[in-house]
Amino acid sequence: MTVLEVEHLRVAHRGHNQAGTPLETVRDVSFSVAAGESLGVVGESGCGKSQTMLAVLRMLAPTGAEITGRVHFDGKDLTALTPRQMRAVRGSGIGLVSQDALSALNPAMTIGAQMAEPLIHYDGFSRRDAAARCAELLDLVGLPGARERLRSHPHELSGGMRQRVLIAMAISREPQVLIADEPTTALDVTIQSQVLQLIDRLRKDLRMALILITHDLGVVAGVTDRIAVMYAGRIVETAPTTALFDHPAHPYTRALMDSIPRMDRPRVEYLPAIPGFPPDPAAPPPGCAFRPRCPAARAECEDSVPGLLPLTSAVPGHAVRCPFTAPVPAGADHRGERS
Amino acid sequence: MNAAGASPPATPGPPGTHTDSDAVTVADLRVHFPIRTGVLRRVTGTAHAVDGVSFTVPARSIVTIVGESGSGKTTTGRALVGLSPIASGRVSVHGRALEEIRREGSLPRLAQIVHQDPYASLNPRMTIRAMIREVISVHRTTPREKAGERVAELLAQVGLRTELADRYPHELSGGQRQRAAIARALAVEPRFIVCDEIVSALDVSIQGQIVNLLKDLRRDQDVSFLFISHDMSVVRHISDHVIVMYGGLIMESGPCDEVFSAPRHPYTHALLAAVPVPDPRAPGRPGEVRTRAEPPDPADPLPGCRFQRSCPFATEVCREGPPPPTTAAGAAGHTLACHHAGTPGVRAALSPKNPPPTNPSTEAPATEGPSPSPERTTAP
Repeated sequence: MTVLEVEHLRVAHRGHNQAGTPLETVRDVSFSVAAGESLGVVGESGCGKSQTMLAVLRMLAPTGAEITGRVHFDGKDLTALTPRQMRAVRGSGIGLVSQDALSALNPAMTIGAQMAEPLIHYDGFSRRDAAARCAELLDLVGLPGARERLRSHPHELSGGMRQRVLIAMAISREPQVLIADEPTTALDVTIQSQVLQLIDRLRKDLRMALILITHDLGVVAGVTDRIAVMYAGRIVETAPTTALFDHPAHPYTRALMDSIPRMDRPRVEYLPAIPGFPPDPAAPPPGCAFRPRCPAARAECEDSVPGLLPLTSAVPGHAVRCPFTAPVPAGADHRGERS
Repeated sequence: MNAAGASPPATPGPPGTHTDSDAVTVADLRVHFPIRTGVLRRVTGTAHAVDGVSFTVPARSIVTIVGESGSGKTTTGRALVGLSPIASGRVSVHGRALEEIRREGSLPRLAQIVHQDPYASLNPRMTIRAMIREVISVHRTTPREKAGERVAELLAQVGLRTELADRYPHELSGGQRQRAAIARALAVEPRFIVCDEIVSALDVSIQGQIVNLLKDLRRDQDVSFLFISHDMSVVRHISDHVIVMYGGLIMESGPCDEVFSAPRHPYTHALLAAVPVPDPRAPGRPGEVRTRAEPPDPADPLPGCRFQRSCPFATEVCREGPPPPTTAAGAAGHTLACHHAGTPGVRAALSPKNPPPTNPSTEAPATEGPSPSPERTTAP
């Protein structure tokens, strides 16, 4: 059952340059997630992955950002709600875990006070009940000594602990959808795997839909059912996770996979990296936005933006925005050794 | 090349003795910070950030310190460029004591540092060109009339197009900013550069570019690097020698291939196991959540092994005294500090036959250890 469906979402920022041309950060993005399903959204900085989620939650600054398209959630179109109705959706309907836990938490409030606030304000909890519920949530996210932690301030916790607090806050009102925006990027590798496992377990236990945003394909491999790869504001490939790893079709997806420093392959002298940089959103290249960095670019790539079309002879749900990709599986070099 | 914990290591070249092939030698380095509390900011304790670390960085090599937050890796790196208060120990850079070099003010000419966040370390109100020119004129490395050429040369070395020279840091992408920061460090023609988590904030797709750049610089110029990171997958591709730190001490140190193919310390093994495998079918996928103990409090160092609270193999002996540095059989310069380095059960669990990244389930559950650590808890 689909819980969140986004159709033809566009975000344009006005007034960001002298010419007055709108800065389009999200260009025609559509996706959906079902209850209990997890979707990974992968792309480099500036590809629009966070902007998409902020637009869904309507957390972009109201002046300047122009959002078009539809966001269906729980029988409502979120783009048509009043700010007051929207506030009711955030937290109870869709929870958000942001990347930087230190700036997402209020430094002057104790963990307990900021966790209890929405419970008391929206759900009618008494202070005592809210405190008990918060302790329960901190237990759930594996924070040792939950009761004492409620009296701590954010700066007294380590990065991994703060991220756990954010996750506890995001799930405190039992949202149907949890959006985790680079939840582990600021964390050490050892803590990263713990936080990923935690998010994965909570999704299964609470039957939440999960949207995991990251720049690291290695992170999403183990915890997502489906992946959408974004580049320059567009989804360039979407597929079930195993299909994407077995047969990456878009040249960008392949390049992203090649750039992961692998621990299960022989050591190489030079790490593969994608040459160049993502395009300037204010002046995207004509045609396919990946063309300047694409190893397989042709003259035709400049003519028009290719459509996101299903791959023939592929797994259902595998679509790619590149007409020149080989219809046959990409081959052994992109498969894991054990697959 | 050698490295060890608190006491002098057993491998060749005792710390502090300089050979011409060494860029930096560190012997029993300790960095302590005062802990101040109350309104009067009275000193009420000492944080032992680095607590007796010895290693050498051979000339034209890339040595990596890997560890998590609070392991003392950054403090160690900063100490080598004179940015951490050294409590005791000897550091020499190209054969001369750090203190002496600092007194005569020539430390910046020898050793430079590139920080993790170039946004914070580059002046937002100066263009890249102005920033590099300033360094050149302060250190008088190039005559004024040749400064323009030198800037172009430095930008070319780090792979930045010349037209980017007149941009401000905010007009560059993350990878470009990091390249500019490296160009600025190179402007003084240092012999030694500390790179503190310089790829951690970058996209995976860009990390490779910066890693390859450092390798090129090492090949083309007489410069050695101390690379500081928490990400084993990057470390594996860049290092000649790897030093694993935890709680202010060196846990394991050895040639890169050796440490990755045959990790001998439980902490190294845990670090390796934590690297996500980009393969949806990889075994040992998320199931239970194991909460590792928090890193040891630097203000109150544990007696015994610093890793004892998170170690699946910890026994009584680990709580009693610090593990003696031992030399691992097999490769030269592979040392470790672990009481159970020779215990058969532990060695089997850390065996290279069970490569941790492909099978994290062999990360020795507590039951396999001689005595499970009571602090290791499992979340509900």
